[in-house]
Amino acid sequence: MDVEFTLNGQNLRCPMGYTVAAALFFLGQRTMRLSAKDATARSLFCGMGLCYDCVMQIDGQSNVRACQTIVQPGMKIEVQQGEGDVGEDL
Amino acid sequence: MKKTSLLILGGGPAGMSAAVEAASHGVHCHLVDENPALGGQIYRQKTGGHRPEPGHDNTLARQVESHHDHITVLRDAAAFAVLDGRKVALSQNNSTETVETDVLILAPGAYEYVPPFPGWTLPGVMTPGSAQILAKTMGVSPGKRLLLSGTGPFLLAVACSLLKVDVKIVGILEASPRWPWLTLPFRSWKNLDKWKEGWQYISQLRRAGIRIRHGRIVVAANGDNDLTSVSHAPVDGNWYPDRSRVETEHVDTLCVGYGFVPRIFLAQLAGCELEYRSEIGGWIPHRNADMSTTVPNILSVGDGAGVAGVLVASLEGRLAGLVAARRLGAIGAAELTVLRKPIDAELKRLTSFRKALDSISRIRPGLNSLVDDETIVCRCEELRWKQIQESVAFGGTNFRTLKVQSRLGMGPCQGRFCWPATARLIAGNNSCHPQDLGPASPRPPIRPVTLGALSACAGEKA
Repeated sequence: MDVEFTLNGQNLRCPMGYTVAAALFFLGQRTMRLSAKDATARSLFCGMGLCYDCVMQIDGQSNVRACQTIVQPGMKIEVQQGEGDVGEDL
Repeated sequence: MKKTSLLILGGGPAGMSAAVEAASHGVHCHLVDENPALGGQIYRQKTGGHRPEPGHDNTLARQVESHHDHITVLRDAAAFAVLDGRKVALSQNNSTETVETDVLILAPGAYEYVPPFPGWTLPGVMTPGSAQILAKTMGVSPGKRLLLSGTGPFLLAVACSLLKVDVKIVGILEASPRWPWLTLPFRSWKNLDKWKEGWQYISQLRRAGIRIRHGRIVVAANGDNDLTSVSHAPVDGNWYPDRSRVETEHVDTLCVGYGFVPRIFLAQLAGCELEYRSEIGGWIPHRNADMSTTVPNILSVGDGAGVAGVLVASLEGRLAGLVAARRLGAIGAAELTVLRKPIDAELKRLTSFRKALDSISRIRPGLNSLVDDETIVCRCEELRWKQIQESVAFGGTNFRTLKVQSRLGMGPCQGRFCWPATARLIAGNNSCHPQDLGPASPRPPIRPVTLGALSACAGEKA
């Protein structure tokens, strides 16, 4: 069974149980964030939740690890720009 | 605050074995793991509705389940701090709690060692373990054309996992010279089963037509926003590449890993003394034959206490489970002596195999020659090698001073990935030893925790 989600506003689907990282690789879209200083593309690296290179903006929260997060129906996934959107309070 | 008699951090083979052993002697324990299912990296279970593949070993996970009256499993939970004594702060589902325990067993495992080289931050460059998780647990291919590079039998295991997904494996580059096992001492052949496993991987890859090239390493990954090609070169006995003989391979995925680094942050926060053992991954908690660290009733087992693989991890876990049962009064001293005898004997039997493998996979100094001034060394803070050199020239002599000066290790990984390699780079440049530069100094929380979640924990303490 498939799960529907959005990536940068685009409607997409992947099999249930995939991590966000797996879903992006499945769809051939490997860039997960642009780094804060040099704005270079980053993606999955260690794959086990330790390097924090694959962090994305997920359902409005920034710095969420794509490799450790299972895709949920209706999830809003965005490529994270730099440190991400930290909200108005900060 | 929750109280428990035995808290085990890490649900891989070491942690699960410890829990099962302690539980079988009547000890109640909590087993904490950061993943949705037990197993650790090696016995990582499939996610979602996927069936486990045939031959997948979930014996230990089933044993844990069968002791559910004694073992409380906390999944998707992770320790982010060790407070005074044996109080551990855990985060789970965006909330936190502290647990006080009589005995603490650390079984955190290890992660892959990747030294910096030009282009290693490009999407498509990843650890072999990363690719294996995609392929094995979700059946997703990491790319279209893939090269594996590094050292050790794990590369072969990953390549075999990748045979099951739709990817063209263009080859495996093993840094060590051809057939190193033939030069090994005869006594290591006692562990024939492990060698057989290695041969099985090799023959499986042979049948699939995958070429293993010995004595070559990747010197650069190329591409703008995504990996497009990889440059590799032959190496001498010390792994210094011959740059006049570089070959370029067009691939979109590179899996690169040169062994493993023990996860020691929790041991450090607990105040355990460390020692440096390059051949088993670098800094490890100092232990005695009871698996005990220098902090009373804190034990450390498995790859997180020195990389030695799944068999050793399971045995160390069982031993720690017994020692914990003894400390908690569940078994007597005489009983412990009898029960640990076969475990000690088996651990001793595996020593020769371990030593042999350590010597094959030992990191050679040439691996430190891959960086140029512009190469990113600290992935989180995007620091280049020249900036680190400037900090060293300015008087940075260890992790802490370099961190203050340059922000090295200041990102969310806290130096897990940059420091083991950077310490080797600096040591190589300054004719000292990596241990002279000290370990990374983690600060709690060792993983990002939201302020909201943290306040629950703080309120509890006050």
